[in-house]
Amino acid sequence: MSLKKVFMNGIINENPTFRLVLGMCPTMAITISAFNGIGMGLAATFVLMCSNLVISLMRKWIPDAIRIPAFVIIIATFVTIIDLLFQAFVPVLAQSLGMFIPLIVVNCIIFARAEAFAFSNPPLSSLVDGLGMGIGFTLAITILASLREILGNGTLFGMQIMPEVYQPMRIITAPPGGFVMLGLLLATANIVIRRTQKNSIGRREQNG
Amino acid sequence: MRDIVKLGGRLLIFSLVAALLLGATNMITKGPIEEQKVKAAQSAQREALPSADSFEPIELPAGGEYPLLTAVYEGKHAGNVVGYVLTASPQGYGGLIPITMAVGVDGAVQGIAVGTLAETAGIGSRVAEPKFLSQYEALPADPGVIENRVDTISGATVSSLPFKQATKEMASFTMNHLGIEPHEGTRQLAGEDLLRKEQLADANMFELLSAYGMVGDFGTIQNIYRGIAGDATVGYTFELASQGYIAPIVLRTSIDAQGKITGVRIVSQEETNIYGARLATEEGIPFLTQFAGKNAVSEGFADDLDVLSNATVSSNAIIRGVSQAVAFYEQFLVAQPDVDEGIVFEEIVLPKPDDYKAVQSAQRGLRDGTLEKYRFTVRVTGYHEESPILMRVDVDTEGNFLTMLAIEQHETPGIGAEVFTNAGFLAGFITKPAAVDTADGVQAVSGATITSDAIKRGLKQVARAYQSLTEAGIGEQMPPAAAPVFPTVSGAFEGAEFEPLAFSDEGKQFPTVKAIDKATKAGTLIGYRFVTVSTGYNEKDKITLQIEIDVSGTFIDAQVLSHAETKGFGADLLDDPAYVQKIVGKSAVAESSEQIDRVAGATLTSDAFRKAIKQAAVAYQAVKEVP
Amino acid sequence: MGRIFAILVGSILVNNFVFSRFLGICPFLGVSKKIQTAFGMGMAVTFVMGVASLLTYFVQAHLLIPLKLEYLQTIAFIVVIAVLVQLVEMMLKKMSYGLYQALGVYLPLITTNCAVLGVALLNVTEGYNLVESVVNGVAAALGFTLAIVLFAGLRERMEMTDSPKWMAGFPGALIMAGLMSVAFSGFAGFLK
Repeated sequence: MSLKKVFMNGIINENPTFRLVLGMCPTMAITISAFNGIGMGLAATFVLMCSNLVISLMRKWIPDAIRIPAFVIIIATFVTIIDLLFQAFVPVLAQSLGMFIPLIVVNCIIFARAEAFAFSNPPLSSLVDGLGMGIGFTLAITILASLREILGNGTLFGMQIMPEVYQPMRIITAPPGGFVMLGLLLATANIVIRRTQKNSIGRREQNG
Repeated sequence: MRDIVKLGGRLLIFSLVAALLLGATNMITKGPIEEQKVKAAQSAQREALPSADSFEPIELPAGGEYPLLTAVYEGKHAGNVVGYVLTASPQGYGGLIPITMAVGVDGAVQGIAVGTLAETAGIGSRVAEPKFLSQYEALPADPGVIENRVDTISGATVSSLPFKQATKEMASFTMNHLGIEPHEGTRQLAGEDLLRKEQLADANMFELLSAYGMVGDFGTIQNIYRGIAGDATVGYTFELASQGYIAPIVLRTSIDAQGKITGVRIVSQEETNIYGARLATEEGIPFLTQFAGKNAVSEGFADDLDVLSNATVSSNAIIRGVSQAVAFYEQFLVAQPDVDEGIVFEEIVLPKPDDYKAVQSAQRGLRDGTLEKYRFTVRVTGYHEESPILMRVDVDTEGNFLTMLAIEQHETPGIGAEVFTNAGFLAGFITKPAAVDTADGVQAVSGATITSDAIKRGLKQVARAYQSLTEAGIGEQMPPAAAPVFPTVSGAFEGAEFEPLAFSDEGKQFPTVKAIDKATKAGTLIGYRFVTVSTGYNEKDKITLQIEIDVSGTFIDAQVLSHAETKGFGADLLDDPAYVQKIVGKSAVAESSEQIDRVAGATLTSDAFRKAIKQAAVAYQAVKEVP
Repeated sequence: MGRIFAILVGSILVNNFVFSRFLGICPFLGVSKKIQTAFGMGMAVTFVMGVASLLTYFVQAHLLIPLKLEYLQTIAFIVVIAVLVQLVEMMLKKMSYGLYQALGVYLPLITTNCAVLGVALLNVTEGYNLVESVVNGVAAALGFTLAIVLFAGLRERMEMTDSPKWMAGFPGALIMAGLMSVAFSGFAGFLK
């Protein structure tokens, strides 16, 4: 697989949110503002890249039997680093993401990539895989967060963008809105993917 | 076994490396994180208690008496304790609600703030809205008072109730543990109230009076606020929307407790740029400032107001709005002096008592032998059949309703009882003809229709009684009124004979003119002498002038008969013959009064003087005999 | 006692981990196709969360705080949880094979269940004492079990329905969960 393919894989084909449906907790919990979405996405991307790289580099020294605890330690280390950095330099984000930063440790995406990719691939493509997956995750949750912020609060990145007459639908930023909006987004993604797949199948048939 | 040691060893190495990495990161971030925490805590403390410059933590008592309190700080300024900052984090709907509240040493809540909420835009975040938080402002730090005076937010009780509970605990801590006696503080005004305070500096609270249903004569009045300081009313603020050239001009004007206009400000306008909109710029300042200091007396209110040239429509819109505020103030808000003082009431026998059975009695009020008003007492059934309403209605000599008030009523407080003082309701008939139609046309107060209808029934009965009185001509049988006699001084008409002139001033063109004498010499008319009474700075003792105009239409003399203006201000002006006599030799037309200076420091006095001169000229033009 | 009751009601209903805190969503969506398995998962999570609350309390109060190593909280907690899950698995295998067969399959999944780490972190931020921590852990897990079992019941029925293709699977399940979340938000009035 070329590096480009590896990179695009995380954004489209195996988008962690839309295709793999992984890491749902932060996806719904913190996506009440676009700013939160980007912050969480970047934090997860950082952890994904670092843990992918380190695990890939050390894959020869980690025996199979202790790979899970080893992953846990490596991932937790990077999560703690990003947590401390956020607290020190972007306290606003640290406040609004709250305990969902330490909870990146148990974000299934990171574990899944460590296990499925980094543990059996060279460092460079593991790093790129982490970047692709991270960006895919960031895009997905930022889209969801933007939609929720616009509909639920009338703003985007804190700026009023809906006309004054628009009465924000508070429920969209409340917990039920998280489930429903993600459900609708996944349904939309399903439709889009089915269309494109049909087309590509059609093309392939023509080629054949 | 060996494997386990080997694997364990590897894991141990991983852990050690991880610990080292984290230790290093911690070293880097520790300082900034501490700084951020201190900053966050301090900014919350500062925000809550701005008067303090340093904060020291106080140890919380053990024993769980204050389970919600998380920290208490003593705020000091220059070493003196100025207050306490308390924090608590009760559980709300979407997580903890971090509250910071400050209590001053005076025992009043000085500030309250909510930290970052987990649920930034959810239901619970409504506790962070100013509307909710402002309830705490200046409240005595007493859990009982908080319980009674803070309303939780319906639809967000899950957050507002724990919030209230936590603040009660904070107040209990300052009251019982720190021993600070609760005390009501002064409210810091916010938002629009601050703008209202610009015009009523003494007010520390503004209360919206019910002002709905203003139509007709008071159509421009949108809102009326009462400015309050402690228990006293310090004035009224009117918010007006008066139709200008393009759209309504929104204005704010206030009348203080002394009945003087304190200012007029344009809140918003959409007038044409080169014309009306100039009123909202520097150019409009002279126009707007001429209102300040004027007495809120509608009689002749607008007479000497200059409009901004090329912005007449807009200027007049403003004058109209302010005049309505003044008229409303005069009719409904001014603390009426005892108008009945000096009036003698005599019972009159009504000609057809069966036509208006509810009318209990009728009287006529005479002042110095002159009929001034009729007074009727009416009993009608309101909301409670067993305790009817006894009301008193006065009708003036021109046949208009003058006042209505309840002598006895037991209507429901807050509903029916409010009708008697509802400005919109009263405006429906006061000053209008005492006729059945008037009473029918009064709009009932919504929610209190039974009481409103009862009062309307009473008014109808009074109208019938009044009509029957006038038809029978009973009320007017009385001695002819003697015209008031003013002591005059000798003026420019030397050796002339004076003869009182009967005059009428139907258009109220010259109300200050109280008497006119014709001056004749050897049977030939040589001029007129006017006596004017106008109100200067001293509202009680007015300024009386004697003005003489000859047949050629020229002012030939002006003298002050009496005044009681302030020494050093208005009095100096009126005692100075040069000022008083300045008009002599000028033509007796209204415009001549413009040539008399408005004197800074004595504007009210000079305005009164100018007004008298102007109206004398107007009266002269009205009464002069055309050869 | 009142406080314990408030924690119980709060964590099971009002601040339900799944419906209002968004914790444990992965197993909630992943292991909720059948009531049977959902209940099994719920029980396993309840056990682990109770014990994890107990252990992490000791780690926090008697290790990290005295040594001023609070910044190692995340890594310490996750290691404790991972080790705990491993131990439980081993002990169950030896002591009660029946129970192991019933719960064992879910145990490896629990390490990455954010509800477990989540409750440990929450106990610290809420400042719960030992008893309150354990009660909160168990109550939160019971809330999770309630949510997942109810959800599994609905999903079993939804399997039978003829829903549009693009709605089948996760999208439909999520919207259904959203409606359940609306219902649970009604409990908000419980806590005053």
